[in-house]
Amino acid sequence: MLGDEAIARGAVEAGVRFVASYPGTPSTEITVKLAEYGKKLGFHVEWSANEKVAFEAAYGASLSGLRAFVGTKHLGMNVLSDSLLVAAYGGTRAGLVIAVADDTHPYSSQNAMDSRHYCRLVNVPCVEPSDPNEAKEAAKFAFDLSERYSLPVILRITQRLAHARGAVELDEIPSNQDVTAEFQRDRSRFVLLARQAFERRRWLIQQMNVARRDLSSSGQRIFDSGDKLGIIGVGIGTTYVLSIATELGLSDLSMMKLSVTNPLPEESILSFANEVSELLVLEDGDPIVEREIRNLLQMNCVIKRVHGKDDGVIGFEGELTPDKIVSGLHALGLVDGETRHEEKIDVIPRIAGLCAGCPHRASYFVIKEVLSGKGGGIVTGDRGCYNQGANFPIEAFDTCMDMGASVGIAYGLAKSGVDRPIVAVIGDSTFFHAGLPALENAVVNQAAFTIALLDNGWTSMTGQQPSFTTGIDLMGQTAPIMKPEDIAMAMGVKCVKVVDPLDVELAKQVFREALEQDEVSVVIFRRECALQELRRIRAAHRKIEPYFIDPEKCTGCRVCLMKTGCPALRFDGGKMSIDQSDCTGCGLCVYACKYDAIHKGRS
Amino acid sequence: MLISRAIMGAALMAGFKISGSEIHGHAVRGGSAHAIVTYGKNAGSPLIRTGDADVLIGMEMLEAARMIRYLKRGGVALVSKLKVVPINSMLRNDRYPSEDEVAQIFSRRTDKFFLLDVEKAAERFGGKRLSNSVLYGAFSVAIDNGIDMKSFEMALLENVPKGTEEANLAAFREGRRLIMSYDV
Repeated sequence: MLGDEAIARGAVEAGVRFVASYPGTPSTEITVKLAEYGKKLGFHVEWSANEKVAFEAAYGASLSGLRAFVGTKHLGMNVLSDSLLVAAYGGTRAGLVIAVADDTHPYSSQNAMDSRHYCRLVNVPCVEPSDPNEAKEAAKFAFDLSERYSLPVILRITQRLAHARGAVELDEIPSNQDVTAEFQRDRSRFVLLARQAFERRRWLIQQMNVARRDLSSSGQRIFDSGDKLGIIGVGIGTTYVLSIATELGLSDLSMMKLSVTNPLPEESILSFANEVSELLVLEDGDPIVEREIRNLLQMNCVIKRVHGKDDGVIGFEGELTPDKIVSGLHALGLVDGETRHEEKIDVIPRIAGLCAGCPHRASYFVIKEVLSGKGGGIVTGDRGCYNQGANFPIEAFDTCMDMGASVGIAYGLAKSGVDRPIVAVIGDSTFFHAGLPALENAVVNQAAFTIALLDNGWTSMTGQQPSFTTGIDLMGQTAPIMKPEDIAMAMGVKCVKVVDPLDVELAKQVFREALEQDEVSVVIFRRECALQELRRIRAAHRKIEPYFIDPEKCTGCRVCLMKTGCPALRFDGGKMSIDQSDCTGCGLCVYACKYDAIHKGRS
Repeated sequence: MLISRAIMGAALMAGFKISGSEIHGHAVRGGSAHAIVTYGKNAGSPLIRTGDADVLIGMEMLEAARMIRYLKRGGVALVSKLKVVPINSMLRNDRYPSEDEVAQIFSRRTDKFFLLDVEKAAERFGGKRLSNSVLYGAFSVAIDNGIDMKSFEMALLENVPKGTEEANLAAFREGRRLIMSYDV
């Protein structure tokens, strides 16, 4: 079972009744798995508009007595933090757990922030498992803690555990979990005006102090072969140490594993620290526990060196790895002799791109052609699989920051007076997640730029989850379809157009006109994700009609490849060709060829 | 990912403790992806040290070479001859290495390098999609792995789509044959 799936299982074993999340690598699989359980067991699982909405929905469920759960990637914590920071003052009724998967490397995210800072900022408990089996147990434990202290609890993992596979021991799923939702009014808790907030802050600090006392002796000794070094391990790093210790036959060190990292189990750490000469703290992410341990020792006049990331014993960059741990142990004199340094072999990179047949490729083709006719423009990009268009050779983006930022930044550039065509590229799911307020702002505060809304009907980046434009929900039920054009018009955008990006000439004309407006305009490039379309074609046993390049006419100029970056195009022996099994028959490459060499079917 | 899941399944059936992890990257969009599998009497680790892998299974030559730092010196490398030429290689000066160059890269690390025509073998039994099973079959006999053939076959059947079991089993057996008859 995947670490993510194990968390889903744990939540189900804990009797979860309400799940609201927004997809995001590496956390998506938690909620996908929960949806499977939800369909079978009859509890609600949804993709919400964004993480803030998801958290608020789950908080509402908790207040009505249903055990509630939110799954998110680290960046989603920023979005939901606004609600969480206040909800912690009100406190919960039924258990409320937020499972966050941090991408500490990062492998598929725009930053590598450590979500655990929020546990301190919000002042709520944090549980950190170290393998899939523990992840399942941690989910159950997190629900217990939440109900014990009436606080939301954060279950934090990192990408390696999210996508780690391991055997998981299953326990029974409780039957008869149906709870009647009931809201018990308590205005002193849930109407947080300044006066109540003052009182509730006192309550929150008190709750965490109680938790600090209760959990002070938590933590588990898992290794003991001497006292030269005491390792305090958090999360997946402890698993690495165990296998390193077995392999290298390490002696002179002991290890303790923490599973609750906020509040810190002070008693366990102090007694462990007193038994060893020095400490090494291993955690994937920022040196948060490491610094708190230094603080704890200082407060208790325990003078011990605490190694970790701050003193460079463990490398700071990228995820925590067994290599980093071994080189740290070497630096501390616990591994002798050679340290292996396996250099990366210098091979050419592999640049990822859009899938064959992807409608976004056609949208970029149109946008770039029109902008180049206007002496070039500025394109602010956004988060989704369309950001593959930032890669060589399409290289369409000038900025690509956080969710929704394409519209906000484009507005800022235009309002600042940058005198070039400005285009914000945003996908449908991202538009509903964070683009709406930025568009409202652009309409009211008035600046001239164009939003290219790439509507492929799915949240494709994370594996084709339904979005608000799909017409079905996560549970497979029919859902209303949100039309971005209706919304833009209702907001007061005068120039709102919908085009099929593969109708290239028309799309160019429409897009060109939109760029000429002296206020914000919206062009919706609408065509379904090619992977969905292919799936349907295959299921219906329909044939795809691929394109073919006439070798007589092809000059080998490679402009088709340069302009489209299509993975079905091949260049070999000085000529271009099309891989007949990869081609989806979209026909975009035809527009890129000056020599009329590309035709449907075999000539 | 199929190979790693099947190996873990087989190891579990054979009574071992298993652990592993996957980095999907942007595999579906032409990026690279890899998975790590450990099994043994003791619980392993989802991530290993570089230079520690007993076996490296490469489904594509360039990606196999990219991951060689994980392979231990003298370890077994099972690499498909498949070339998926990246777009940067077709448009820039990033030259895709030849079979000889890939062999050279591996020879600095191990003499147990098997470059296998996996696709050709797979196509004989029904298509390129069976390549995974060919390599999985190769793994089953390329090293003393402690897993019995029955577990290998059962784990394969558990991990392939319904209706493709026979073809995958045939591809698996062909993978075994490729190693047994490998001519260095």
